Amino acid sequence: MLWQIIVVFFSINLSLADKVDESSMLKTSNPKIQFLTKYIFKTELPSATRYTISTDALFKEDLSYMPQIDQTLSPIVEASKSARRVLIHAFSDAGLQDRIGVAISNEQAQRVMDYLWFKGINYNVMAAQGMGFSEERLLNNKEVLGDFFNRRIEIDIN
Amino acid sequence: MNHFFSKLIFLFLLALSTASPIKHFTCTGKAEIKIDGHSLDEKNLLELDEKSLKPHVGKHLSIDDDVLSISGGSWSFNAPLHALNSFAVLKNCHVTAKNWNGTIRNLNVESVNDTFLEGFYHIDTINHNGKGRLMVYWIDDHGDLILNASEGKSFLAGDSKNFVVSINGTADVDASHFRATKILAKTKNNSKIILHPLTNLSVFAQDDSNVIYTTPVRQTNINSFNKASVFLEPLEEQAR
Repeated sequence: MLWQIIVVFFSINLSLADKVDESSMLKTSNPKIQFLTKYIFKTELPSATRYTISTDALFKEDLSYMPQIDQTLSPIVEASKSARRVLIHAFSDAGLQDRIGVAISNEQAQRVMDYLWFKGINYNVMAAQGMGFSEERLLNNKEVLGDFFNRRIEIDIN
Repeated sequence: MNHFFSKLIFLFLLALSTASPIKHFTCTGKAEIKIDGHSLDEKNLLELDEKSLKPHVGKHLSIDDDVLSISGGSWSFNAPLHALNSFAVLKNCHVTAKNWNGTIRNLNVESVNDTFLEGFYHIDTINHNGKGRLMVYWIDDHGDLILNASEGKSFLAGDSKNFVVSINGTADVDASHFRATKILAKTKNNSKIILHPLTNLSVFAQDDSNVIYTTPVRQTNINSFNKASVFLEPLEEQAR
């Protein structure tokens, strides 16, 4: 009986912890930032609309696409259809600060560009580049749970 | 000073009176076009400029500014280094080019007849949507080549930095001798393609399409859906 109570107590605690995490992620102090899902947020810049996506939502460890990539990228595909320019920059987290980080983020940026092309975006309006490590400056890291949004793809659409 | 200005005006008038080159070439109907980069053997070849074509304007040939339209008959041109913004081969038109060091921004082939281009070519975009065969040999491009095809057989040979190919329908593309640093391919329906990537290959194959690549590359991003197949099949080494 006692161990059943302990299990129930912990499971309630865990589910509450999940909810707390998610809600803290979706709240930002900056009114210009709008979370579309927990993996993607949108920022209005003076010259473009920037979509920032957690790399973890797009790629598996071997850099193959996640099964839900279609759903994740659908707002970007919609926004890019009539775009004049789509710039894709990929960033790694603090663990990959050297040339490997740049190489891997470059491959990720290229793969995002390839996928957008596959979904019908004009090849000639897109450009992709890997940037390696660069700390997320738009949001307070406490709000986005550390490295979660340092490993990110930024897509600027104008 | 006056002398200088009169010279300038003379040069300006001279520039106006000289032949303006053809920038857009459309061939339609049952026409036969031959383009030769060397004019050593054949005589009576026409130049691809307005001035030399003006006397031939008639039933099958028309010129409007820098646009040449041919709708029938047999025509031979001399074009060693000619650049076209667009080259359209439509209906029953048959084109054969040799030794042409040509730059073609948009090559649009929708003919039931063959289009054979030999020489050195810089091409930005090829659209092949006709039943006829298309052969381009040799493409020497340091930028991007974009190919869209929906039917007919295409054969490409040469080099390019990026090769962006999108095929569907019954298109059959042999680019096994077209080397590109990066290849980005999208295939649909019953289309088939053979590719020769050098470092990077991204493929999105759908339906019953078939993609073969002839060289193992370091960076591959291969995605196949439905019954599509993507596989490596190295070219057989030729016996020396």
